[in-house]
Amino acid sequence: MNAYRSIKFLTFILCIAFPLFPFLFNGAPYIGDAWIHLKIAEETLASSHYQLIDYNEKWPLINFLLIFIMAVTSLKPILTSQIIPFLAGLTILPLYAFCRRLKLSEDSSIAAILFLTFNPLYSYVTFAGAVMKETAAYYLISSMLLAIALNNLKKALVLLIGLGIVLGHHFGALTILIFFSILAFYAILYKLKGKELSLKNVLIMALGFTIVFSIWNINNYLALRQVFSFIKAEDLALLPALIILSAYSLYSDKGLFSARKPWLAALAFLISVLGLRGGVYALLQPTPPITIWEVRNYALAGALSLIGLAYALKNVYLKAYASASISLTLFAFLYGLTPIGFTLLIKSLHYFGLLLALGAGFFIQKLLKQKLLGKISALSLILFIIYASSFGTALALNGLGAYRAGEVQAVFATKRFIEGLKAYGDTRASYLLPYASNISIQGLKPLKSEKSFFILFKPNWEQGFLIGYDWIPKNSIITDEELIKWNKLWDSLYLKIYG
Amino acid sequence: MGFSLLKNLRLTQFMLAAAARGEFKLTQSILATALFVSLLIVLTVSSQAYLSQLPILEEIAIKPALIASKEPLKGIAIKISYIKLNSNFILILASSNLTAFLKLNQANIDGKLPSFGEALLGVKLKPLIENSTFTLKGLNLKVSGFINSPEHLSSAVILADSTFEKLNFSYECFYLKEEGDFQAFAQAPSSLSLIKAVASEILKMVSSIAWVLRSALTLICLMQAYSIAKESRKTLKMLLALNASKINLTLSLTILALLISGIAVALGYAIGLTGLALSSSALSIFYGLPYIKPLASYALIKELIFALTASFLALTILFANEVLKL
Repeated sequence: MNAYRSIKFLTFILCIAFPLFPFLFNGAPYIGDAWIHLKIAEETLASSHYQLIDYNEKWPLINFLLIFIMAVTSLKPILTSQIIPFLAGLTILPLYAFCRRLKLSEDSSIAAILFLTFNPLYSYVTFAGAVMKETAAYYLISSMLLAIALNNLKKALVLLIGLGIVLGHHFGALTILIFFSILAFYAILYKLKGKELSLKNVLIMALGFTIVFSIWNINNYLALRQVFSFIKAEDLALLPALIILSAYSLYSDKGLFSARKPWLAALAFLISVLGLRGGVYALLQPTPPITIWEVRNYALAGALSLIGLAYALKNVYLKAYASASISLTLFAFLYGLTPIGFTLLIKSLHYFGLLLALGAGFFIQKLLKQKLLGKISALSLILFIIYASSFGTALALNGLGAYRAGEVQAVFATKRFIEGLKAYGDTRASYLLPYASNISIQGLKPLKSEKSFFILFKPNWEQGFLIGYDWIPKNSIITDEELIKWNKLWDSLYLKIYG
Repeated sequence: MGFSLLKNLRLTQFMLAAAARGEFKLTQSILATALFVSLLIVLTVSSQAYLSQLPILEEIAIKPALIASKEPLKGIAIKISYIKLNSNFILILASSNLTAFLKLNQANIDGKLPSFGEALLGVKLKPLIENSTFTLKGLNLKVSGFINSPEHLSSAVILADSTFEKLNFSYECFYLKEEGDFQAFAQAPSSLSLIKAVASEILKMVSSIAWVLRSALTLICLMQAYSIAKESRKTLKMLLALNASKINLTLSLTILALLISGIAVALGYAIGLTGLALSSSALSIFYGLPYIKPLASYALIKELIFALTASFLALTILFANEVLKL
């Protein structure tokens, strides 16, 4: 029995620590946004003045967290960045408690948090391990679900968490705004039906959140119109259509289109697979074509979570959350097969992933009721899910989004040589270099050797270049023959500089 | 009046609760109405969305507004060359009469015409500029401005004749002229006229189908309203027996009619737009057709208002009729 409890405890530790994996594996923060936020935090500490001007300053939660940790600890900035993945790892605690409130057993709730952490649909670690605005607000999303579902609901607590989400990230806040809108709609219908749901509380919370959301985001949107120029009238027309359809389809508990048969969730899952691995987006990515084994993994993960959802979606809070996350996933796909559409799809999957995890918890609950065979099947499924997700995790850890300690050290070592000079490099360099050596990167084309530098990190000569979300093969930018014409100024295991 | 209003509100709440409990069997009626609304929405939005792509077809089709010839015409001589940059071909154009050339192309430019050592760039070439200069064959050219439109010049570099000569490009010379009395170039039938004629015919057909759908929607609204009114008879009788006045009942039913119509139309809108976007997306992925996102237009709003009005009036009239019969 003690051994069993120890395994459960270790599972929690593993799930909390898993987002730290990219840092533990590579010795540097995951994805380029980390350098922007670290720079903002360091500059704010130095000047004691926070500005709300740029896109990465307008949703300040992550910057505030970094500033706070830097101010109260004497840790190196790169280490302090790991507070963000750590907090993302804590997402599983409110999620576990929420599962328990939905009357899932301890084991099924653990299955849910394991599914979230080892989601085979998309690599969870690329999100939870990243130091970015959205990750900093993720634990607040699951905390919000828990706070709403509590018996002795505290409106002030809900609004405080809501404020954190609004200050955290616009997409996360939009998810919660849609969740509240649908919940308010359901609450009105439940009230009319005479079912138990505190309409007054829901309406107060929905209204409060909407006001905070609108003030902060409309203000930011107006200031950053150029950044959000991709939002068009047709998108504003399509999103409500998807919200209405999704909310309506999950409202009823009986019939062909009901919470017991969540077709739209299945559709969202299918299009997610198509979007991630179907090669339908106008993007170049260094990933091989989908294999039959991957299809098997997706099919199993889909069946597990979607069948579970058919049991899970009795709870009104879950129905509202499901409607919000499904409609956003569908919207992301229907936005268009462009790089922005792909970004939206990835963002929506963070929230859809939470829903799928809850579905998986319910499915495991059903299996565990089947005595020994059910228990063996449940354990096998969980182990299989962890195995299936490992491929995506491995790709992410070695991918173009990951930085290595060696790269960071090399950039700091070359700082005094290249500071203030013109340099060429890809997206990875354009994030790290301005942080480490205060130089700006000119992009990649046209490369000119005259009084300029060309920066190549290890993944550049091994895998190619990252330009925005596009992967470009190395030879498309520069061939070895062309490179020979440049002088090699720095040559280390992780960094090469030509000039 | 205040008391009556409060009484009416309570009555409305009672009616809404009865409807939510399923006493009026609204689900089927709402779905039927929503289905017809969605068909109307699909027709309107898809035709509008495809029509919005018409200018592209016009651009693709040979539009004899501009004539280019290798034979000397009474037009502007233009030197054309190209370079390959970042896997893309970039047009290099030069002429002794750039003003006329840009006018012929109906170009919209920011900045001024290039003189010696300067370049006028298509707007898509902006990322290649460094310190307000653009490098061509090793020569740093000062950027004099940008060409915002038309599309075919968005990746072009326009130079003065003298700059072009200094760069020593190999080139071909073409003569450009506005469409006019040039007899050698003619289309029968003209692509542009053909596209416009086909679009006009399609619009006429769409308009006829839309009228059929609107009539069908009105009929469905009446049928569903009749069915709902019939289902509500028992509840209405009970309320009358409880001393509810007929005026109050009618007012409450009017509010109910507005809500039912609102839900049916909103659902129709949702089904229509989602269905259209999903099918267009599927066609785009599996058959390579362009993805046409449903267009938000006044035509869409007009159809929604029509559907809401038809449903609301049908329900209100038949509810009122039911109350009068009691």
